[in-house]
Amino acid sequence: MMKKRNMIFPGFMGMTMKWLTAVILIFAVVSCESDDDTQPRDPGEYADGVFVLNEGSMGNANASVSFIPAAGDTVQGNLYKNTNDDKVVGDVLMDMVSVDTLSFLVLNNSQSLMVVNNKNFEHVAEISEGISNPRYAAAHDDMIYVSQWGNGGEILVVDSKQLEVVNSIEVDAGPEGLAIVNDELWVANSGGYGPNNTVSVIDLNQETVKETLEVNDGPKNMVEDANGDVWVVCAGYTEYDPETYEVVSSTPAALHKFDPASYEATETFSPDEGVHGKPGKIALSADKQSIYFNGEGIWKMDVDAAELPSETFVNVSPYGMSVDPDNGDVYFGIAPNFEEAGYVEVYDANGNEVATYEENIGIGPNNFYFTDKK
Amino acid sequence: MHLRFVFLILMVILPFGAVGQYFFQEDPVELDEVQVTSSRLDDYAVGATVEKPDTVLVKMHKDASLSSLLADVSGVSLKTYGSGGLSSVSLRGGMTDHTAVLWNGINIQSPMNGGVNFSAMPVSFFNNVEVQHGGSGTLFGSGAMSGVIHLSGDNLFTRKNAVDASLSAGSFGQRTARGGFKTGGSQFASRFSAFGQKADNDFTYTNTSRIGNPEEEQTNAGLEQFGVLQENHWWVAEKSLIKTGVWYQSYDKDIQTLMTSRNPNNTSQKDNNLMASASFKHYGNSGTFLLKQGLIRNKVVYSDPEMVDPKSDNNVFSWISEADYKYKIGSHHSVNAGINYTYEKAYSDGYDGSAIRNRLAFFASGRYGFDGGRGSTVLSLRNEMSDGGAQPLVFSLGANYNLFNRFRVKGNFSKNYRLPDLNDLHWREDGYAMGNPDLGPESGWSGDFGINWQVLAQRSLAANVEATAFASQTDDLIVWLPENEGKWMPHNQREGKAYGMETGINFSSEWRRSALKGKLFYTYTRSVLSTDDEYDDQQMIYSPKHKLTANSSFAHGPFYLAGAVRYVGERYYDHSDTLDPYVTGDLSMGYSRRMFGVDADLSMNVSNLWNTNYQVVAWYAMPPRNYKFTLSITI
Repeated sequence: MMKKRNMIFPGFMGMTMKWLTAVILIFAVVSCESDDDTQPRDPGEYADGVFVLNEGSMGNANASVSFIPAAGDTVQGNLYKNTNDDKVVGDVLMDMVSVDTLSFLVLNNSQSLMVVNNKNFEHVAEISEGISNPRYAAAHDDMIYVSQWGNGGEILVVDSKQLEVVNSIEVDAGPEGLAIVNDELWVANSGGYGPNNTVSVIDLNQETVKETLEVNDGPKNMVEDANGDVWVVCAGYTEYDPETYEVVSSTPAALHKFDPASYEATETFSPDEGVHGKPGKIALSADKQSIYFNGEGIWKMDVDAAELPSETFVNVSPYGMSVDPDNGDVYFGIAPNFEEAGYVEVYDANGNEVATYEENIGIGPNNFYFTDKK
Repeated sequence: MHLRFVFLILMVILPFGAVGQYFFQEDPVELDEVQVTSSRLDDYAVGATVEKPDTVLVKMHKDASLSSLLADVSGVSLKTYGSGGLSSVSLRGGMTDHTAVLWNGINIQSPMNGGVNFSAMPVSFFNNVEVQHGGSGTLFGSGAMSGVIHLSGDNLFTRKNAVDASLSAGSFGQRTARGGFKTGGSQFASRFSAFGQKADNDFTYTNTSRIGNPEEEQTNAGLEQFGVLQENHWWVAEKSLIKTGVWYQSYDKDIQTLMTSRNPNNTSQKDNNLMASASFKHYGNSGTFLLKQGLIRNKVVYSDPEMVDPKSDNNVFSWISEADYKYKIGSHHSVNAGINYTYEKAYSDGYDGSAIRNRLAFFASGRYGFDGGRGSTVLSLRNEMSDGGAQPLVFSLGANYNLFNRFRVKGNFSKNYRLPDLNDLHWREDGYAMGNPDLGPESGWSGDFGINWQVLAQRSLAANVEATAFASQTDDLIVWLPENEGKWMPHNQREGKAYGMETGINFSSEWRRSALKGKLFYTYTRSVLSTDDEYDDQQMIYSPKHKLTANSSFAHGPFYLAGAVRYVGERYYDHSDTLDPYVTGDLSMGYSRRMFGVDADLSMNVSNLWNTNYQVVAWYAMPPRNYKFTLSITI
């Protein structure tokens, strides 16, 4: 996952008096920091480490956020519940982005964005107007962009000051992963409940779709590498016969490499299903020189390589995969099922296992958010 | 909370002491019309605990659905998705699809998912609701692992001809209408019953999932349901009886917005069920021959406007054909043997076509009666073949015996099985889930031992005490687990262990124009699931360790008063989170009178007496205290 950081103060329009007070306090603290650079910015309780987003099991509203401190101390679980009067954070947590001291948690089945103070995880607000089946989020300047499957597939524009949805942009069905590339927003339109094969590129100044790129079926996510190329991972689409379980139709998975200047796919790699499996996740190494993708195990590939790797990086089947942008460690969220807690495995960039975290991880760890260390 | 317990205990105990002083009278002996009602349940469920909800309890819930009745029935653990929502039962720490549901002896569980929706079934259609606890129901086939719920009408020949009608109005837009008639003579009798219900369920509740516990209005929880039932009993010859039944119902339910969802849900579920049963029974000199036919057509449509294909259409057609012969040996012994053929066809959007299964089962039972009618023992066997091949041979061995006068011991040991559901086997790969055609049946054993002591048996005061200990183990439980990329697939991967205790006290007392009845029943259930070698001692989700039900009724001349209280202990809804225990109660009071040649009955029901804020299934809000008025007449 990309590091997301902006220095924008949260505003207070459209908020209740209760939150107004909270925001004024935050405003005051942040203002002091900004005014006087010699004062260290108060990093709060979660200064250095990684947030683990535990999806929870659908309908049970048992999503949770854990925090693994960089110092390797004890993992803290249930951050929201423990700071907010034992209340649940929500149902099916997909993603988290931060704008300054606020973090926005994308809650798919709660149909909302939960806004918390990321220094202590205290509740700030919950945004729900206009939200329908939200999936992932990206932050750029003071705006949050949220992909959602509702209304046929949309990107919501959320003002992180006003804490409300200010615009929506129609894309294709089932928008999933997002990437900010040269002030443009790339959207993988996975198809959602059916097939689809497009990536939308949105001009963020106009808030309109500028290009619609054709890719293989089931685009899920993308990353921008050190050369400025954009890698799009597509899972393909398969239908089976119900009686014989033979494949009725199947479209192949792909890794496309796009030149964002021309919007042309300069290269397309076709993973061999028998060797690589079906990819659906992609992550970028810390030096941006390699990509990681999943399938039958995890594969690591140099961004300049001419062909797909022939040996796995590590042999795990993660539910979530992210790279620590500082040291390049690869974090895998493992979900054995959705009734019990999962765990987190960490490998270094060479594929050596570094750590395993089992304590205080919740159900279905699917995503990670690395905090700033400045 | 404390006060409610006191109330609950007092309701049952206090009148008990108060009526003890009345002098004793002989209990009137009630005899069933054995020829007509005798069934395999009566004859061969020997040693099993069979609960029949008290008539007063049935009367309280007469204008509601079976889910509301079963919630108050002893030992039944009900899982209801919000007000009027999908409702399933589990018994003795088993899973919801481990309780078979039989209507006139025909299994009506959906072959697609093993489910039966008790919220769609009107109480007024069934004069007999019997809950058989434990694995002794293995004789009734696949799925009867932890119990069986038997539904049927009663003997029409012993019922008076009458026309009845009833109208109810209650809180949150609840409207109910019910009516029917029974006609016929000693050769042919017929009954018709209709039921309709509508509710908005737009109640206000305290949303405990949100900071500040705001009061919110429930959205998308409305319900409309309708059903008709027609039954005929016909002596076609001196010793030959034909029974037919046709039952249709529709259930249109908006799926309640979860407390944790910030935008109203807009999904709905629409069920249409058509069921028909016919049986021919011939009473010979040495035995009884029974031929039974059943047809079931179910259609369930889920609507979600967000989906590309906004409707998911699920259809089932089943044909059940069964023949058995019971041969009497003397007056106490008998053997019974039969064959069952079941054809199941499901076609669903989830299948890309249809899935068909043929099932053939042989069953046999032998009953040995002990001298002087002091007890009996039964051994039953059943073997089934399905398209997948021969299933394990299962059996049940049960006995009961009058150890002393009015002190009876009983016990049962059985081996049980359950075939995978068609969804488990045939769900097509759709990117999110995929069936597994290699699944085997779930199988296990269960056993119980109990006592029943008739402490007093007078009309002025009758009381009995019952206690049963039970244990069971089930292997190869089917569980859906996510594969790579979060795609779900079922596997025979779990092992379930359960044990516990059921204890109850019943009493009744009649004196001049007054009658008092009561029942207190406590169930302790320990149920755990484990995977492979990992053994987790945690209680199975939605299985309360403690459940206490109490109900009591008092009638004096035309007035009657009935109350039902239930305490449901803490339940896990995932590996670490729990739902709080709750106590809730219903109260019903009424006045019955004959005027102008018509029996009229006016009653008021108060549900959720203490305005308890509780959840049966996580994040489905339940209605606060609410009221219902009912006027019914019988001509």
